[in-house]
Amino acid sequence: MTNRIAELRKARKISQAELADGVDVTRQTIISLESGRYNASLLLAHKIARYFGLTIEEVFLFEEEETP
Amino acid sequence: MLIKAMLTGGGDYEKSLRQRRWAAVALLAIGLVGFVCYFLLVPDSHLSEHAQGFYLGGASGITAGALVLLVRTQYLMTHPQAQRKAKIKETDERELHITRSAAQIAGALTIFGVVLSLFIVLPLSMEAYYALAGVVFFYTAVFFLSSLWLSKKL
Repeated sequence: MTNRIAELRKARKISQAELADGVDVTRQTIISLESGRYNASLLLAHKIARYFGLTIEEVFLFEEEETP
Repeated sequence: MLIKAMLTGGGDYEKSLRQRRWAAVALLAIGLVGFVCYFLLVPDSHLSEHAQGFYLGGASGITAGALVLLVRTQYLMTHPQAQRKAKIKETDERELHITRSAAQIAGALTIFGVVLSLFIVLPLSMEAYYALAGVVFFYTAVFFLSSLWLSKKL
């Protein structure tokens, strides 16, 4: 799963700390989400999408795994 | 740490803090009873010096831990800004994920070490062997019981 958090945040000129404060997580969590090291739960994904005024699908990009 | 982990969640952080304060008071009572018993009962008992030291250490540790928890919880309950910071830190899902993963790794490595130790201590001390076997039995029982409970709950 990839996400557009960094892209959306920069486009809106929001700092990582401001986003973290807005969705009640630590700044380190935002850093990990942006770098793809950590995947958000459904609840956090919903909060982040709502923060940007978008749907979850518009922020988080789910990639179907290739089946053999 | 264990009390904080047990009493954080459910979405109501204020309630968690109130429960934590009661837990701190209960722990403080245990520590103080330990102190009273140490000074009133232990001197006339047949406990070895080593056991007496362990008794005093236990009572001191519990009392000190309870006091720290009580003071910190009271501070958080009366300082909204600090409370919000603590809430974010303690309920952050990544932090919780890290704690759970660390506990899993620690549990797995501990049980691995205990099972390995069983083979080492068996020829050396039957008491140590029984103690370690008890730990393995307890771990297995808790694992299956909690799995059963969680499979019904989730």
